[in-house]
Amino acid sequence: MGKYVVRRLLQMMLVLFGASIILFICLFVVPGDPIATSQGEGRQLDPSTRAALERRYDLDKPLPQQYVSYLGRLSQGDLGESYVYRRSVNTILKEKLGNTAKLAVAAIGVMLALGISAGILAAVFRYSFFDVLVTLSTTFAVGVPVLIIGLGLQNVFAINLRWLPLQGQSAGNRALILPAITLASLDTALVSRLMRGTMSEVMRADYIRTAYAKGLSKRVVMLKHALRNSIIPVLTYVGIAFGGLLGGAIITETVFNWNGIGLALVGAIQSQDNPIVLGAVTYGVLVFVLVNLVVDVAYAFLDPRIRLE
Amino acid sequence: MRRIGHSTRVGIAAVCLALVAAACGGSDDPDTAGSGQTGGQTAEGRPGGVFRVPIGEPASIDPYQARESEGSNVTVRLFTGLVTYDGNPELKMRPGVAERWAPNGDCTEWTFNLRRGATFHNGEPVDAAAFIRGWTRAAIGTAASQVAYHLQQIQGYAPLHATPPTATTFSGVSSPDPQTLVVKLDAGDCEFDKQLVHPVASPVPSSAGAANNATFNDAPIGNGPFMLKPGTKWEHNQRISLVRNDNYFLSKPKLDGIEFIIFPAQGRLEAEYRAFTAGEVDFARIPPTLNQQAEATYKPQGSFIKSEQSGINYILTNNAKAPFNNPDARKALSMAIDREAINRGVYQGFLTPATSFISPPFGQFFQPGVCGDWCKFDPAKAKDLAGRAGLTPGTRLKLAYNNDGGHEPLVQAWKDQLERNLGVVVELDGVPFAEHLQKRDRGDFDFARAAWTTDYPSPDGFVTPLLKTGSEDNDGKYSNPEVDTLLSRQKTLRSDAEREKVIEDIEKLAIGRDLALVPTYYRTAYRVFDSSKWTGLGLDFFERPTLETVSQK
Repeated sequence: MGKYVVRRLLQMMLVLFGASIILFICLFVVPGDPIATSQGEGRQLDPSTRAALERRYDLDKPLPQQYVSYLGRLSQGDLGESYVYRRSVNTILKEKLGNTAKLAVAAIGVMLALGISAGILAAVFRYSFFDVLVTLSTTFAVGVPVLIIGLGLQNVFAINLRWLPLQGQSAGNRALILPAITLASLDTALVSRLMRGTMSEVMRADYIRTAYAKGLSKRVVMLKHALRNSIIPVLTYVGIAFGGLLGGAIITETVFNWNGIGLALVGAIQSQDNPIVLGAVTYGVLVFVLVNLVVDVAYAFLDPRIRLE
Repeated sequence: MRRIGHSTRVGIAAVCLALVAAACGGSDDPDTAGSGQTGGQTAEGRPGGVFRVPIGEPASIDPYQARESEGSNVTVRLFTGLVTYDGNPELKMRPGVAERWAPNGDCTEWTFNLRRGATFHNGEPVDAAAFIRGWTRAAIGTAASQVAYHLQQIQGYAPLHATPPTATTFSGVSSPDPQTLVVKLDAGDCEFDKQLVHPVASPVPSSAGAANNATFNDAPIGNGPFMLKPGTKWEHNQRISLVRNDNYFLSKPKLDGIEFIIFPAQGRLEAEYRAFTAGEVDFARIPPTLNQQAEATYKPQGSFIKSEQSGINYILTNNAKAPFNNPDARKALSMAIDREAINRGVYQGFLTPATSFISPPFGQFFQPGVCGDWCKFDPAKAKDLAGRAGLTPGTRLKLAYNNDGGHEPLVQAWKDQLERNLGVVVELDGVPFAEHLQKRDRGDFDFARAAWTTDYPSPDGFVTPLLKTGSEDNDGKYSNPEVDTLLSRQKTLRSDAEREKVIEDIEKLAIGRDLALVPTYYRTAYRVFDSSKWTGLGLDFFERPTLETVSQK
């Protein structure tokens, strides 16, 4: 087990290294002029200012040398300085990380509470009105783009009813409600369908019949026997989704002006603020690999038949 | 002065304009006061209240790097320079920290007499040393400031701004006593004082340190009408909270404070307008596509601001090579374009077709109609001129534009009209703005979409960079010795009346006769604000809301 984790961590280093090379090439070798683009438009930079900036960001050195010094800084956890804001990328990402995590946790909360319970009820009362309702609403949530869901929720609850804030984070936890629902909409629908599917399957299993035969109540059979065995794939899905959410949610963060990683990434790509793009994507890769590892390990705990090799 | 890539100022990557030191509680420019707006002077509201303004995450609010509209909107509330500008049509500077100032005979040396009693928000006096400190801090090469060039006329700028710097002090700036600042210029400029409205020329206190002082960058201590709310600093991507400076040395604003609410650059115009409709901000810019809707909704309530701004949209012609080295070809191009039809079709009538190069906010320098027939749609005459200038049917013309500013409908309309009216073949060449500027520099175009604005209230910011032979911003390579002579002359004229006459002559020659470039539209800005709560809001010369004059109803 320990050995497995160590091996996976070493593999992760390799993945990160590979990703950094690909990213670096993508960002620095493609044509374009990041200094000019990130410094805004209007006047072209005077030669002295350009020289000062190139010196500051190592851009006056040959590319391999730039990469080596980037790698050197990265190994010490230093992601460099933003071309646009002239602030440490570490500081910028740290500010955003907390916000993205907060939104991700809230979205996972919605996913678990709404997705799992809807899935269970739909499975237990198959072909009932409720089941049909779940099927319809999940189809809707899967089919309608997140952008439209977000804007729709804003129109109803922020602009027309004015119950909840439209955007930003100044209103505390109330500001979290609409973006969390928006962000979770697609995954909640998928989770409830997955839950309904696995649960229905398990409910046809022999040991469930045995449990009924023993005289257990439907409630106990469902929650104790059926749920426990059908929830593993669902939790796997939620775990991986969480990894994705931690990497930032570009559309939701943009619609709700939620100061997270996704938003930072879009802005940085547009202004060719390469240090932020590199930092945010490296972070995203890291989180994704780590979450996958955690899910794999958790698997082994949940299902004794699975062995880590 | 700078080129503009977008038809509306969107964001950091989008625009930079720069600014005036905070208004001195004075008036709005009557020329820019628009419908549904009350001028600052007539506003008689109650003091107090916190006004919420949406902005994009600034690149900087520190004056050394006040390089774009969003940060400058904050910086000018925090800092007041030597002089201020209140929008008067004579383009006269008003006192800021300087009470009096005057140049010597040939305008190569300027003496500023500073008022006593002006202090920074921390109580430190604002003296000549504070200005020298601020200017040196911004101009030194290691600061890599993009707006330091506003100080480039001052003696000693070159060695200070070099990379690496070969001087650490500004040799042309001195202070014989704490209330006197003497500035020597490399060449005479009788309008040098106007350039000092840019926030990069702000004073800074001794705690400011070098340009890369992160503490000061995020919580600048200024001398302006507002200061950072005590105990707060710039909350990145969230807000910047300012409160009134009760020790301000000019007339104090009425607001208790300003809350700058920060929006992401991505789709910001839409976001801030939506936030306005939800009542979360008191003021907003309007996405161009929603101008009509906004006007219909908010004009009846008196919440709609229309303001003529100093920028000009134009067609840049490549005057260095055929066919546009021939003035008749430029005139044919101009007359083959129906400005009114494009305004209605593409912009729902929200632009103002231009009949001059120098725009309306330049007050007495504005000469409507100087472009004459050349700016009027006349396809028959255009065809005739084109024939004489060798712009024959089938001629291939490359139209360069930046494809990150939403200009496609405009250039498409130009293409259609030119192909229909002149029979030429127009090839569209759209690239991102930075690359587009490089193409222009290389002369890799026949004509191009262009826009220009200036950072200080003088038509010199239009005519010298765009019309003078050899100027680095003269991408069209227009060159006329007669115009050059006049351009040099107006720099050293001390009398405003004489300068006005010379500028008029320049525009008559370069536009009225040569059509050096083709003016298309003036820059009109539209805003909404909550008139149920506030009064006295307009836009100043620098396209910023007049937060110094706004008050509660």
